[in-house]
Amino acid sequence: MKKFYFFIAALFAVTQLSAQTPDTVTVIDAPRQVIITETPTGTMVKVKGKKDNDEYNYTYQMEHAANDSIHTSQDVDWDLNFPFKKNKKKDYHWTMETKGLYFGGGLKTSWNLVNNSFNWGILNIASVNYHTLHGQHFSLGVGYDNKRFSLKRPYCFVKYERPDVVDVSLYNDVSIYDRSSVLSVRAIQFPLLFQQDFGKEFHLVLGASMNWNVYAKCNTHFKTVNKTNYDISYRDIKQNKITFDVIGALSFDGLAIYCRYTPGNMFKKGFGPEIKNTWMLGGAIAF
Amino acid sequence: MKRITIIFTVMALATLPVLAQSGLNINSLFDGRYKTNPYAAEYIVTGPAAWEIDLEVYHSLKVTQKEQQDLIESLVNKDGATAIDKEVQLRNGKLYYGFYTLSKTKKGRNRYIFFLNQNLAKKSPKNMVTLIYMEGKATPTQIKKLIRK
Repeated sequence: MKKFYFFIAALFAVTQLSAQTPDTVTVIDAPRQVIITETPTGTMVKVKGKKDNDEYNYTYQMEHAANDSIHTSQDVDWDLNFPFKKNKKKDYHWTMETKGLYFGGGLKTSWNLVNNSFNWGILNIASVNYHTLHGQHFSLGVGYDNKRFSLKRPYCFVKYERPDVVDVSLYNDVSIYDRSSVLSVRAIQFPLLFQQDFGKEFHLVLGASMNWNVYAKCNTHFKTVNKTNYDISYRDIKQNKITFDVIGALSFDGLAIYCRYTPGNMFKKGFGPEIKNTWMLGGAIAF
Repeated sequence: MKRITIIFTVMALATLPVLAQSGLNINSLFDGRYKTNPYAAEYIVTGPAAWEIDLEVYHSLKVTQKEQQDLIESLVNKDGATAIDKEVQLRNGKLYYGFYTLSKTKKGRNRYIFFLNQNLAKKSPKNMVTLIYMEGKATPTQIKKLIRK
């Protein structure tokens, strides 16, 4: 019924616009059905009154003008979309990733002849991650780690009788400038990590890493009185091939501070000084 | 309905979205009254997330309380009366949906009000009235594409 009144009102309005002298076209007292059909060129309105009585039926066709502004609304339900969900990344349980370029320095080690130590590497060059989708991540990856231990000034790494045993000695008398003696250990590491998310950007990472110490070198450098440079390296040394680190990190928006603890000795027992219980602290990016 | 209030505030001024509706009758709905209402959910999106879809402000309100739904409809009707363009659909004598284009802001941004009463849906009605106020350079066509599934 209301549709009919709308129609009559619309019809009246159209008639007002198209002719200066409006007139009643037809009156249908109790319309049974009103059908409005939209086409690209116009609008057709059918009003049906009584069944099988043409006098109670009326059809009106209105063509759209070229510059008409037409608002049509199909009588279908709306289903709302929240437009900002489109930008949300889909989360997956399993992912591959690269992360954790880190640089750090030594806090403490068991051997008191170590002056300072330096640590850098990539925690995960590649890793497989499992995300619970509830804020927990587990990952197993492969990365690179480099540790350097430099001795206090009066001391340097040397080799004596046995070519594979590293010992420590005082510098000789002629070496008086630019003294440095460093143990460098490079490893392929296999970190197993657990990450707990706190919000979107803040994460706590805990885990352990198995280090395959593929390369180790002792290097001693000094200058003599007559400014001659000496650079002595010992590569054939017996480092522990496998060591383990305990790793902890706090990250925020890709930046992190981390701590690594290496309980094991860098050298095999009997092949060098005991450098163990090493603590490293540093910063990381892309974490 | 469990209360869900999610506020994305990228811009520092949390009051900005409120100010954006000033001068409208629906402004009174966005005064924070629904933040503690368990039958309402309010979403405010401004900043980069909104800019990506050519909006400055996206402010929506979903309400399941009958009396609040009637209030929203009456205020929308008042603002709709001053709209420069509107598309509405009535069902059972009540406003089912309304899409109103309001006059531009002083900065030349388009303003829109969208209203949907899903109680009046034919296929799967649910007790929900949604009001969305949007402001930005997005065109009506863009807006419809964004908010309609």
